[in-house]
Amino acid sequence: MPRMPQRLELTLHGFADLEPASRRVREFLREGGIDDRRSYHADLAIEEIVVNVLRHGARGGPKGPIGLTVELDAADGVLLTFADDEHEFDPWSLPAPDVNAPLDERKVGGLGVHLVRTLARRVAYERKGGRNETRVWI
Amino acid sequence: MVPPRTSLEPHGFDRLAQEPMKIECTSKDDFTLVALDGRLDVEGVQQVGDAFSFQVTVGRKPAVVDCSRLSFVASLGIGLLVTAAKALSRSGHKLVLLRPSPAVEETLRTAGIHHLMPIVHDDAAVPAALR
Repeated sequence: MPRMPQRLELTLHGFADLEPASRRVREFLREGGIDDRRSYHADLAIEEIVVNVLRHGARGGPKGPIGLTVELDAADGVLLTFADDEHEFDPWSLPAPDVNAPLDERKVGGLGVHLVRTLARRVAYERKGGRNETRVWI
Repeated sequence: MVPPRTSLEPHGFDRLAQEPMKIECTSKDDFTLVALDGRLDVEGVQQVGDAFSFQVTVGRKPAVVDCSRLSFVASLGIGLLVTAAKALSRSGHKLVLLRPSPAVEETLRTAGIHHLMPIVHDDAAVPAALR
């Protein structure tokens, strides 16, 4: 029988909220019957997107909270929506790193967005009402 | 006695349950064995990053990272592995990843890490991987 859509809304105020929030999402996904692999990918997306916003989003301006909404659909899909009021930034516009570069030419960093974009089913970005809205379908 | 998991922040986060990341190092004849236990996320890297970088390079010999108890790795954790592999390669040594879980290995391979350091699942494969 198809599962009814479910929804979890969280607000993250900084790095200290990241681990407990991702743990809460893992519990929510487990209770929702989401398999371990998909749950891991959701966990990874939350880590990478939130760290990206917290490390690179605020450049002198006020750092507001990050809204995270997790939605389950009837087809075992997971939609993550991140909302923040930092300056306009589309993470999916970043160029892909060269993951085939040899060790001595390999850059450390720039991998997070690549991991999410590659492992997700679909990603999207929209600037909406002065806020960044980043979506990841797992 | 384990404290009950009832402490909730105003916005509902339980801050008691997460075990800190652990690192354990053993000096073998031919390599340094470094076992990671926990989540190598932003918090895990803060907890063990300096110790990991030090332990991997201090012995001036190849290193094997036992990933069997590594439950999660994010890009910051992968960066830690790459930085360590670069430091070892400057002295002509390799870093080998041993027994990552399927989920961790999928993340590592998506990042192209298998092009930079061997990933093996059997102790017997370690000597050849270190060469």
